[in-house]
Amino acid sequence: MIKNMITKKNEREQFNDVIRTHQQMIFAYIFRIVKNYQDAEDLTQDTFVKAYRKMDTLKDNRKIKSWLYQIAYHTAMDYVRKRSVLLLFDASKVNEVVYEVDYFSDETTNEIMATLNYKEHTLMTLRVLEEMSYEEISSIMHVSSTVLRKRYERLIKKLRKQFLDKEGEIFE
Amino acid sequence: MRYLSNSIKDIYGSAKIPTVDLEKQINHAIDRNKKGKVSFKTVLIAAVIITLSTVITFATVTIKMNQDRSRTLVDNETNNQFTLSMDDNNQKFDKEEEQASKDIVAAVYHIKPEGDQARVVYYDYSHEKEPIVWITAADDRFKVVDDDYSELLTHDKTPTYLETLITSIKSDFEVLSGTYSYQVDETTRLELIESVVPKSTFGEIYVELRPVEKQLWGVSLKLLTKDVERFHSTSIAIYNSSVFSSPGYEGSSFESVMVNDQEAMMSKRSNGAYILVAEVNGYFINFEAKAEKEDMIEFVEKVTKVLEKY
Repeated sequence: MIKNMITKKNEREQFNDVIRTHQQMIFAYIFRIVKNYQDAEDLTQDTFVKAYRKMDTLKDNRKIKSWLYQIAYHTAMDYVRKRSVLLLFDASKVNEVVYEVDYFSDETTNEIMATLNYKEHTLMTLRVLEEMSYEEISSIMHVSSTVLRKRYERLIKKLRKQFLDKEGEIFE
Repeated sequence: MRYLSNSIKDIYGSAKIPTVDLEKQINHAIDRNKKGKVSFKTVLIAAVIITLSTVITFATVTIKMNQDRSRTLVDNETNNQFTLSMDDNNQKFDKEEEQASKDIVAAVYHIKPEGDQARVVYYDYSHEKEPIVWITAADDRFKVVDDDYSELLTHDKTPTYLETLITSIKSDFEVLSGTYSYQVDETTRLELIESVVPKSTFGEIYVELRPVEKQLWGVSLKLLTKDVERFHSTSIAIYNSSVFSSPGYEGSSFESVMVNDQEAMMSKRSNGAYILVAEVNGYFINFEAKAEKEDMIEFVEKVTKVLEKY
């Protein structure tokens, strides 16, 4: 295993490299879900602390990105579920919290993207931004690739409709 | 029908995500985890014993504005009340100003920073008084490393208490970064208002002109604890009490605590962090951390002792 390959002395240095390389990626992913800086920072920190504790589970260093995303996905999921209990909302309504600021280029995009739930953000991040295969995403979200493909298609359709309704424009 | 030139990747990827550097905090958290679980209360204590005072706990809260510019927090269920006074040079304000002061509270709840643009909060009611405006430059951040606070400390707008304050907290915290707000003259104020109107989000601008004799500005410091057992995710802000500070918002659970024999307010964020707001000598101290409440009070008491001298 990776952890056995490095000595105790530089174990932390190696992990600090992991932090430096991937923290922005994980933070951006979580930020899109939780919509505020403080919580995103906390959850990113939690993700890396869990990652450090679970270093033994990383079998192949080439898969570190999807491994980190998996931890971050579950961390975000716990947050959303806990928050929906605290707010006494239906979990789907947690997304009615808008972004703190207009983080997208225009108000329409900001409003539409704020409506995505954590699973949809995960799909967008992994499929659209990271260009992962459905098989790889399946290992992160623990859902079959067939289901993911259908979810993605529905999601794109939904976004097209929302943009069309709001501004009479669609994307390719 | 028009087609957007951008693809979904361009659209989704266009989000302006803040840049972070969490390496130190993550390492602190790992060390803390190694030492053992830091226990802190996950539920607000329903009551705190206060020497010679009444214990007050709030569920759902309404904030009432009083004629003397104090704010009264009212428990909607029990009608218990807590009043936070604001001593602003013993000024008595007329109805117009009272209405404006109500807007302040509303404005505090509506501050909308413009991404990486300056965060601007304006309050406007002029009544033949010298205009003064709050400008908070959200992007003017100082990075201080170890003991080198020279950039933050030598700025010409630096409040006089800052160096003493940082010295007093150095045993507990390293300052990671700082932001500041400062007074501007009328010409600059008008220019800034003109520049911000087209950029204001949600179409809201609240502008206040209020005479204040003391230093009109505040400092916010992001802190890194040196004792991972006691504190986590810590920040402190200190600013002139002409702008009301609340530790929470309508609907929050508030708790009254004693800080150096003065009443202060505490509430809890959804992430488990406490916010403690205390007023001393015309300043509001807003301290936020994941910590035991007693540790928070102890630290804020140290800060109030510094500010009492300024």
